Amino acid sequence: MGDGRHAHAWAAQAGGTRKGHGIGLPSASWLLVLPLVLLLAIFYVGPILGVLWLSVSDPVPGLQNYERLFTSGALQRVVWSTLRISALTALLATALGYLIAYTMLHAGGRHRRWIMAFVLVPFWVSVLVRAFSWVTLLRTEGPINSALLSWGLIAEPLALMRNELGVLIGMVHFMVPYAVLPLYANMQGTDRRILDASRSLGATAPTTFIRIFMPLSAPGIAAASLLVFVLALGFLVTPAILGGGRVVMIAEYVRVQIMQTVRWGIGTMMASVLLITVVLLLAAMSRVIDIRKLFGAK
Amino acid sequence: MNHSFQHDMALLAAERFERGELDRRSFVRGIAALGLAPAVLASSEVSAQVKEIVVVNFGGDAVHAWDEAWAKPFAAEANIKVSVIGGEPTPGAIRAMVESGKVVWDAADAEAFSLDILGRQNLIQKYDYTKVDRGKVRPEFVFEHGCASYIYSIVNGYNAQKTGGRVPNGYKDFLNFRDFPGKRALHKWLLGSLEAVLLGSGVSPDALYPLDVERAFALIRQHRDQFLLWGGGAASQQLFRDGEVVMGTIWHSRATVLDRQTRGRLTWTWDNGIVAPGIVVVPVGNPAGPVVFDLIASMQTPERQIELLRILGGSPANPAASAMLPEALRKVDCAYEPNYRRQIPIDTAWYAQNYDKVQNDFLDLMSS
Repeated sequence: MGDGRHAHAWAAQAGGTRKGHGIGLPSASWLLVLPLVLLLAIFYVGPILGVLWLSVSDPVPGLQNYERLFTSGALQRVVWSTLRISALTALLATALGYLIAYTMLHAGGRHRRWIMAFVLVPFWVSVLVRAFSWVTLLRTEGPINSALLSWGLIAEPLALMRNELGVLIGMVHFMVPYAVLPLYANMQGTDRRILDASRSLGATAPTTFIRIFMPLSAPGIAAASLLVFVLALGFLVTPAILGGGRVVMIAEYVRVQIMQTVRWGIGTMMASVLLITVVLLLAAMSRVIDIRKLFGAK
Repeated sequence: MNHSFQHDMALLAAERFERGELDRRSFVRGIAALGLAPAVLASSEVSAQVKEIVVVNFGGDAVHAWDEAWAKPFAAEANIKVSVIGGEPTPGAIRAMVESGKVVWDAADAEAFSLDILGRQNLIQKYDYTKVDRGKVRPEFVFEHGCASYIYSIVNGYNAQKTGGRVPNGYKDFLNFRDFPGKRALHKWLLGSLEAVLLGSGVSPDALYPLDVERAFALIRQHRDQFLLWGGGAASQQLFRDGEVVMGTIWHSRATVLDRQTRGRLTWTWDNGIVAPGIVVVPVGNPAGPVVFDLIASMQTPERQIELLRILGGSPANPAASAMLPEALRKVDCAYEPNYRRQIPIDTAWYAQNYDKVQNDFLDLMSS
């Protein structure tokens, strides 16, 4: 990311020069990204403004759609379960991702490449296929329940799906790679000599891990859990399939309002709430940590 | 003068369009540029020259079936291309299309209750009943903005192996967990779900509508872990195939497939089946214009109605078709009179008034 930092410094310098000479021309770096900015403005910002507008104008102008957020228990339940499931997903995916990234860090070259391949391959498998694969595994008469029953470990099939547990399994599985990558990038940047120094000063391996390595990987943990949490907030397919109608998250709720019951005002309001939540979250986090650095933009 | 010149230009474009020198998009763009789109498209000179009708349903086998049963015969006799495409023509998708001003669909598969929702907002056209014959549809399924092109039934399907060969008494045994232990399948999109529960609690079929929502919700809450939801036909089949449920609501077209494939192990009863109409709606400003009603009228032909039943399992809306069924199809036709008498027609008006609220409350109930 050295180049990025270079360009940034250069742009700041160019901006300073412009100010100094009082010339109104935009800097060259801005011209370079202008096509992308225009593209985003037309195909991204435009529709989003449309969504925001609908949320305060359909069916009648006003804030009554947002008011429902405070009066309707159903809407609050949808928001609450979205936040709860996303937070749990972030926690579990980050924990699992941490183990994988840590193993990768200490594995040999060939071993590490294999782990990386198994982390990356699921990226290319459709979310639908993955959800349905879990259905096959988790259903009442599926292999997991059949095996447990035949070994006599359980008397009744476990309810592994069509509930929050199923949704969590599917979502954590989907999200682990998103947690591994920022964590691994962060751990790789750790100076191993610090760990060696800790050991040479008499600290045991667990102490070195807890007092030295863990704190150094904290930015990676923050990046991974934030990334997973934000992505999880908008999940549609996995909760719809593995939740069996018992788990309704915001995206599914929006889909029903837009497509099925044609209550566009409420649907767009919920979509806007999701959007605003993510923006506020990123803003809050950016006060504590450097977001651009987290995601490798600096 | 200006107006007539532009009109003439539009007609010229229409001629070129007919000769195949212009595709439909350029043609529509051209006359839209002239500011004449509504006027010209509505004029008979142009609609007589329509080359293509686009019909959309929910995809899967229905695309092939509608094509064979309905599109091809009409295309041959009217010399108009009919394209059947699969998509997701939900009420929301139709609204989005009409409001964007770029209507691509001439006709879309819809549930009866959405007629009212869409009609109220002036998003779909009233049927042209000078072309489409009301007399060829069961009267309970004729409405201002459309009438049934096919009908289907939400029946109680069951796993005969798990019931030990006992046949549930329609939906009356839906909550009879003593004699029929095991989970029940319920439709996530409401149709038939509250009916099954209410009938199971002892409500008589003639007192079923208007649905007592509070009572139904209380019953569902009481047995909440006994219900598994399905969202689409394939998912309902899966619930039965995987042995997850002992009985439950399922579309009759899916039940007949299960029955055939499992040689009667997974089967259904017609008793208390909730019969609902499938209606083809016409979005406002449909590109092909009024000729779409000729297509819809042609779909009422008994032979074509039977063909749809044969290929897809969608039952004839035209009673004349069910009356002339070959023996082998009688068993799978929910509209065949001896079967129809055992079932209950859905109350479309109730759904039109209550669907959006009750559907959302139902989702909330199931997820809380």
